[in-house]
Amino acid sequence: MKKYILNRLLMMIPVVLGVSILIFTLMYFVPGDLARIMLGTSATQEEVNALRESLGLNDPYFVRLVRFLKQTFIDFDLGKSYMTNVPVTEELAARFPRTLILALGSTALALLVGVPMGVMAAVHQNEPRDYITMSIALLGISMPNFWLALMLIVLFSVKLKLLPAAGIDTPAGWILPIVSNSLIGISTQARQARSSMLDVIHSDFVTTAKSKGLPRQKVIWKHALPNALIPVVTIAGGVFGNLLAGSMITESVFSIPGIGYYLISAVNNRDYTVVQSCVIVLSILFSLAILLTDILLAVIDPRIKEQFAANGNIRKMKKRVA
Amino acid sequence: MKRLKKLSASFLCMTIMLGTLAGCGGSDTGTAGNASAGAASVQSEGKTKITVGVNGTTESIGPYITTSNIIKMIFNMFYMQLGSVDREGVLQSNLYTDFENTEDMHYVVTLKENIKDNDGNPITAEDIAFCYNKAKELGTSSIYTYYENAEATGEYTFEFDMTTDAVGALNQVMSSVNIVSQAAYEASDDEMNVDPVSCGPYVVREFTPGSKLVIEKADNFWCEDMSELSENKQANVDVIELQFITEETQLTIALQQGTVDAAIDVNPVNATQFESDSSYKVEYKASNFFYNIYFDCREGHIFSDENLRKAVCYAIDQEEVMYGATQGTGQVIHALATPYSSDYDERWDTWEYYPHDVEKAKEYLAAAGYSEGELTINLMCQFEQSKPAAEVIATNLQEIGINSEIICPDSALYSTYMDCTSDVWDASIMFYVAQQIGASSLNGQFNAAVRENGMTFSGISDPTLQSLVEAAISEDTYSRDTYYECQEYLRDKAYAYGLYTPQLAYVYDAGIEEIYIDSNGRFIPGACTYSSSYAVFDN
Repeated sequence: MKKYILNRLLMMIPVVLGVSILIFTLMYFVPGDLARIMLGTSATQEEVNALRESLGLNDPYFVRLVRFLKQTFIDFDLGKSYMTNVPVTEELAARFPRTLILALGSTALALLVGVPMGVMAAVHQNEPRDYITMSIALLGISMPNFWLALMLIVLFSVKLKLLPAAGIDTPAGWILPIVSNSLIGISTQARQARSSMLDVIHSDFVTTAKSKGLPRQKVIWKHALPNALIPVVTIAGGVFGNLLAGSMITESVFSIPGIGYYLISAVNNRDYTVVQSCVIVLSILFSLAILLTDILLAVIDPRIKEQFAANGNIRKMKKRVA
Repeated sequence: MKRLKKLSASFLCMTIMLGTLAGCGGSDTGTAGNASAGAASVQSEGKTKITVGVNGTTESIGPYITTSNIIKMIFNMFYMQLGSVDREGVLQSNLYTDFENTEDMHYVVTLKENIKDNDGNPITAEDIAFCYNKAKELGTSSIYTYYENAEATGEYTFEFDMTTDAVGALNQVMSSVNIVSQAAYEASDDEMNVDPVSCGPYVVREFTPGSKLVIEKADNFWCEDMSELSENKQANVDVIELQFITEETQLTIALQQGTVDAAIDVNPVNATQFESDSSYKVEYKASNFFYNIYFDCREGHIFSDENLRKAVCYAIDQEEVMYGATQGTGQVIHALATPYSSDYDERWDTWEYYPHDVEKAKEYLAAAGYSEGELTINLMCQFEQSKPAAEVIATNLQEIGINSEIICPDSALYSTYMDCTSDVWDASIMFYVAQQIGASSLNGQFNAAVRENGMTFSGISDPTLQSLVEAAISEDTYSRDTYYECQEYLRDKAYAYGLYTPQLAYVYDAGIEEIYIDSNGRFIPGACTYSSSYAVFDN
């Protein structure tokens, strides 16, 4: 298992390097002039050219790429924002905890609500509870989360005055962002859990357990659910990774200064350093999230753990044979 | 267990359905929220406080970062500049006692002797020269190119050379460089990005990038007699909290809930709901920016034909465009200028400025050699906000048989495309920010001399226009008449056509007697007039 984790960590190096080159190249070729944005529309072309020169934006592609890779992976310096002159590392360090809370909270809520919904729907297949739950899940997937966010604000902040409409100064300020951000996750998890549970509850071992007279609840929660959880956990890992980078709409609506909003502003301003650094950091975090998901799967399902061990043994055997 | 399941299911359904249906109700201005408007501020030590919702954000408050209009407004609250331009366009002193133009474009500035920053560091000519040179070195604003060679020549005397004699440029140079002490700047390990030390009347107490900024009246402010400072450097309230709320609806909700005491740049339509509420005052003020349509006038291009430009101008219904873009809250303009500027000439209001006339437009179109339906143009707009204006214009043009394709790139792309040599657009809707001296905005729009290719950004190369522009923007020749003549020529040649100027809506607590908007259209909470009962707290 340790070797497996180490291998996966090593595999992240070419992935992150590839992502870095890709995002640098994309930003290099994307139209839009950072110097013009910085100086505004009233600046003359000469002023813009002078600023481009001083920022090193006139250098050829390979010169800039090598400079960027050296700075990032040899000097371990993510650089400073062109627009604000603030080191990107500082800004990410300040913003990451907020995005992490949002992503963790949303993923947890998606699991806590979505999985029971899915289980209930599966257990009561083709009954009204199944139809209602799946209709809600369908509604959740179809509803844009920014719209839901605004509706939640209208209800809980403006009309009922129970929760703050924006800001995260108090713990209550997190409730609406997390709820609106988890909507798609809840719906996806509910649908996935239902589908997985339906597969499992019709399998032979469940029939055997039932026929042995085990209580229904025990069959469902102890025997069927752990087997149905594998796709659910796999999806949860992906959703969590996506939420780390993809919560910009929620962050914008609720005025949460997180990474997503920072990244989008940087893209709009062509703030190359910020975009590149954010994407690199997010690619590392996403890879780690997927790795953690795989480890969690091994913990949940002994068969997967066996697979990891078996892969290691096969490699050992190959080495011996060689 | 079964009951629990049913309850859980019901609760889930209720929550999601309520959330979904919440928006179906009518609008509610929220009287309870309003009741707490002033009192919503968290107070300490009986200090007065105003919380302002700002429709923008900043990640840094370092003195020399790239600044938008919103960031400039924020910086004006706690940074000090040598002087400030008042609402009549006159430079008022903050830090200098005197300045004189000794030769050609060389200026000598004498400083006040008792200036200190909020850490107690004295501010001398060396510090001022450092700030001017640092700003120029970083080059984050085009204003920093208007001067060179800032040099301290005595403890309280420093000199610099201007690189341009454009009208208003000196005022901009004197009022745009944020002053800090060299010692404090160099002692800061982050170039003052988060924790600046200014020499203004307010100190930064808390800054959360992208979220909020709290500034408080400085205890040891160097200037004891505030009348020695310009109007916009007054400190009439103890604590100012700025909440960065970039989402338009949230800004309105924050007002309704009393989370903020004032909000600027509120959507005018949303602002109307506060008009009937005695807890608030609503004011609409002319903004200092105005929207125009520019034509790609390069030789050989379709719009190099004056008749075609005039056909488009006559086809456009300004009232409809203004209504489409501002829901009727803006103002139609009759020149490439806004009444906000102090040199706005009332004679322009009576001009016959291409009134909407389809028949006349068709005549000019025919004179340009085009038949109806023959021509398709690319119409570019600067922001999503100006897209409704573009749509109305496209409809107007359709009436005379010109088809339009609307292009609305993001701001970064727009700044690349704005030069007509990019070949992306034939006509472009663009806003321009007018300074207090409106003539200065001609420099960026129509001064071909500042560009290598000898054309304006919209491809105009006209010696007559160039001489008129130079006369209007040069400090020596600038006058009401030269400015008027230039506008008149621009109108006659239809090189560009003024559309409208939006109004900005300010919604604020009724306890504020009068809000202060500076010469650049920026709201300054410290300079507002507060009633004696406004938000004073005992604790």
